[in-house]
Amino acid sequence: MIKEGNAIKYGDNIDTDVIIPARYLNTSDPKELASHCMEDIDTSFTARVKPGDIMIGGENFGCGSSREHAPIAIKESGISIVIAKSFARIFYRNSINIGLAIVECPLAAEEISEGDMVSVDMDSGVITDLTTGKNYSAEPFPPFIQEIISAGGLVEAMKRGIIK
Amino acid sequence: MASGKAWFKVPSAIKFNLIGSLPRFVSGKDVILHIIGMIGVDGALYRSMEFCGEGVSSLSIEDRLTICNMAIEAGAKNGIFPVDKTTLSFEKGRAKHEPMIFTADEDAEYEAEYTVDLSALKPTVAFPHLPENTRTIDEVGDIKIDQVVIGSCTNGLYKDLAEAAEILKGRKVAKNIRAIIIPATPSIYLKCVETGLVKTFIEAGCIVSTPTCGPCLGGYMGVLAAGERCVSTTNRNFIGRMGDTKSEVYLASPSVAAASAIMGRIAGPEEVMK
Repeated sequence: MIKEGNAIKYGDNIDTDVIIPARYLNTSDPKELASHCMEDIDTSFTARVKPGDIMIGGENFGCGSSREHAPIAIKESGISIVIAKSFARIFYRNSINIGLAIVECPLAAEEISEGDMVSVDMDSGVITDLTTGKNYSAEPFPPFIQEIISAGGLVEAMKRGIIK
Repeated sequence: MASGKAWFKVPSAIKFNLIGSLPRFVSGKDVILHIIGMIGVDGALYRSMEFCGEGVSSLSIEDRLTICNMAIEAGAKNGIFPVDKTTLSFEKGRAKHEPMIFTADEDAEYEAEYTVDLSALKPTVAFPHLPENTRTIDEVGDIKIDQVVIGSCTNGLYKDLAEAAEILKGRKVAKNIRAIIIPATPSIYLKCVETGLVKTFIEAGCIVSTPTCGPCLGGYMGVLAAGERCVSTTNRNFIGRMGDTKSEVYLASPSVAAASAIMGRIAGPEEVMK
């Protein structure tokens, strides 16, 4: 599967309170969560994000709370995949389990600039910055993880019998 | 859980070789605060922290549980100790099945290795607002406090509370200090009632709560006001963790927290027990 979109770039240690501030956690409605995604560090995010856009993060992306609201807010905002130097452990699993595509690639996360058109081949792990023409290679997920993501998450994957 | 399976990204491992044994009034909390101070809050990011070496046998199960509980505060995926007599005696009567015992391979690869001399450790305090901001008790200086929390998942086992009680027994919590005791589980709470620890705490001027996360995350009970300082045996001291964003949390062992409650400022147990 190929993901393609413009890069929206943030720094290191983007925590779950930044991704979705705790004051909005009294809802689990994905649309409502998405409407406040990133607002404490980037008030323009919800207005400028387009379906398919690719979020770039630095080290330890998604650190903080174990709540699933954070990857849900990012996914529902239209982001097709998050590329980061590294992910915090709980966010990493939550993302896959709710069907948000993620990939670790320190060099791509370092070099891709805000606004660049980027494509990610989930099967081969090749990330291409279409603006600069540069390729990066990340380790692709094993097939069963890709199936969980493309099914829309663990619960959906189980319902469809992909995971037994 | 529904499928009986779970997937994980396998972490690489970091080895902590423990040597020597802990001095009096120094506990597992001081070991893990020392280690986090040494490697930082992302020092073990997504790694497995493996504690091993001849020093392990001298550590109680409570010390080990506190150390593993706070491995997460170094960014780790998990913290693990080898199984020994201490583990098996704790496990006896608790698990419903015969235990399967796993040990590290002889040729296991480690990304990094550290040696920690337990006998050289001192009571350690993590200053606001990160668990890595550690200082030993002799470097703390004069820091007045408003509240002490002893217990929680991190340090609320019976031995933890007994260590605090040893210091509080026959003494009084300083004026205007809120001292909150929180056993980790109902069975520990009950044991504290039966053995008289609760009496010791109440006579010293503490309040004893039922098991709860309450103040640890500023949920309820002992929520800190702006400018207030708390010595807490919990596991995190991020900005605003226990209340107002202008409050401060100092992480320490039950012994240090108890001594601090008596002195009204951050203090080591030796100062109180001399």
